[in-house]
Amino acid sequence: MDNKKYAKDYTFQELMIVCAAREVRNGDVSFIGTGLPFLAVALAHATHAPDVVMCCEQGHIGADPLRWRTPRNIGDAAMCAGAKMSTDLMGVMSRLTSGEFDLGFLSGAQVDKYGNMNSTSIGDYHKPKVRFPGSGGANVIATFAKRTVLIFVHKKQTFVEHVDYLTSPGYLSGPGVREKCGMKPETGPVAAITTMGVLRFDQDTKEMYLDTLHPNVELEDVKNNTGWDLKVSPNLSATEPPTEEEIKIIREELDPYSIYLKREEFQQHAIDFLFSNGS
Amino acid sequence: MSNNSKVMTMSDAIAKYVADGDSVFLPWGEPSSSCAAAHEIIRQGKKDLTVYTIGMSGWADPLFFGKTIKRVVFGWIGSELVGLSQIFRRRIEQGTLEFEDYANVHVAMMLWGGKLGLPCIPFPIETGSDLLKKKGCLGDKKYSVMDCPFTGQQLVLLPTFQPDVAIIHVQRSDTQGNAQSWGTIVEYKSELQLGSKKIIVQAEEIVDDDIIEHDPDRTVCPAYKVCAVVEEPWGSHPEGMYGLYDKDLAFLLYYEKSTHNDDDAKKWMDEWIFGVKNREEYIEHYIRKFGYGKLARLKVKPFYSASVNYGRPLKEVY
Repeated sequence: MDNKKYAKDYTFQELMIVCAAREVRNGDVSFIGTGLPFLAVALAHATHAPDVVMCCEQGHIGADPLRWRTPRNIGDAAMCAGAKMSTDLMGVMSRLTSGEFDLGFLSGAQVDKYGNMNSTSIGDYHKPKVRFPGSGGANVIATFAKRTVLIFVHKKQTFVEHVDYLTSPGYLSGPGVREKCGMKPETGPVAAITTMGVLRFDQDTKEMYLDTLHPNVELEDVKNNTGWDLKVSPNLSATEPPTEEEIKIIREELDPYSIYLKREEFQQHAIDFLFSNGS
Repeated sequence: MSNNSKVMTMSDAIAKYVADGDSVFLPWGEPSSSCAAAHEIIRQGKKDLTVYTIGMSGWADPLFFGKTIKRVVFGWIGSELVGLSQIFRRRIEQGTLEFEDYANVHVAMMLWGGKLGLPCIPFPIETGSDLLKKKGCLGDKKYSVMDCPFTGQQLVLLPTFQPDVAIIHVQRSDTQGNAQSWGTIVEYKSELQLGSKKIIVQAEEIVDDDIIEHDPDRTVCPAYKVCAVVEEPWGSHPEGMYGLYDKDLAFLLYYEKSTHNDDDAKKWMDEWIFGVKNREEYIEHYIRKFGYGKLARLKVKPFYSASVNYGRPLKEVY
């Protein structure tokens, strides 16, 4: 693979999509969700993993939304028309609990060194400072998917010593604890893709460590933006940049209207359209 | 052909069949929301409802204003690609909403258990996270554990629910309430709506019995469970409806931006809920404010299935 042409112009978000796509294996039965996780699976599908089975918690199995457009939510009309199977939430989640899902992507407001995540609330649970939507499918995906990949913005408020509320289990308090709490071996988080690097989990301690550093990011920056004493791989290397081809696919095929790549601009455009005179 | 028509206005349906203090099953609704019914519930000032829901998208947020909902048992409440469900989150942050957190599929199982008539139902839930440990309005009745009598393995048991009333939105129904829906709806294939004691059907279209009888696979609730049928075109807006219209993302963004504090939220509700009498007026208001083109643009293009042959038996046996 020496003849790869690496892209020079890309955003951190696009780099994260590419890193997340590399976690997808051909033939995986995978949740696709929306936003970055969707773009990651779709990129893998368009490149090295044409046989990935794209599923949504809503009930789609074998969806192919890009046949129509970038899906804006899991219940998007683009997810249903053209899918191989339309069941419902229990139909898909029972495939998950019986161990048939290979991969899921998760994000949230906080994550700790064992990959435990919070997508419920900040502050006191009963009277929180900020309340988020709640678990949704996250807890169950974190429990049962063979591999989960975490996608997080890397900053001190996010990478915390202790999460305020543990919505979705990573390795809980260390090795063997998942199993004690009723979870199957060979499940759990395998990587955290952040705005600063790619982190993986130590086989013995189950603690997250920095594996590769994104271009133009200093090790010191990562440490300063992590709320615990972050371990670093002795073989720390640079994250492989996106190729020109990958960036082209993301921009032209996966999200041509930049609904995720430039989310705020897209949202403003949508509201402006609603209040405009034309149709 | 039965003449037992249950067709009525939404105003009558909510007045007759939703009482203060009732427990209500509401769907995720993205697409296929019960938004027309939700607005009527608010208009009539119904209060102290307990809502059981796998989750609800942006359409349901106004229900959290004031005293309409007292308690909610849920997996996820937000607004996808939009942001947070602002009124809902403020109620929790202010400590004025009774709530119980689960994951989506846990609530699905509790409704499924209710549908079966079981008092509780086991489900494989890990015990390491806060999802079970931290308890809300159900207190110690949030879950229980027992040893499986067959394997000895620890089982988590969830309570089950049979809500007083379910409100569902479908593409079509006959006049008695044999309601049909297609597309990937969060709850319908597992028939989670059927655990409720009675069902209000809001349908995009009321059709002849013959249409239903030619395609019973698509029926998601039988008429005998149904107390009211309301013909409500655009009844799911601002969420979408398979085969008819798309989610109105711009409108949901506008809603979200209009609800960052209670005063603004009240203004939005005065305009869109209290300022109109019914769904028809709501749609007329939309057209007046934004132009017909904005509404027409939501209509999806056709993508037909091939029709299937159910087969009709011969009358003579031999």
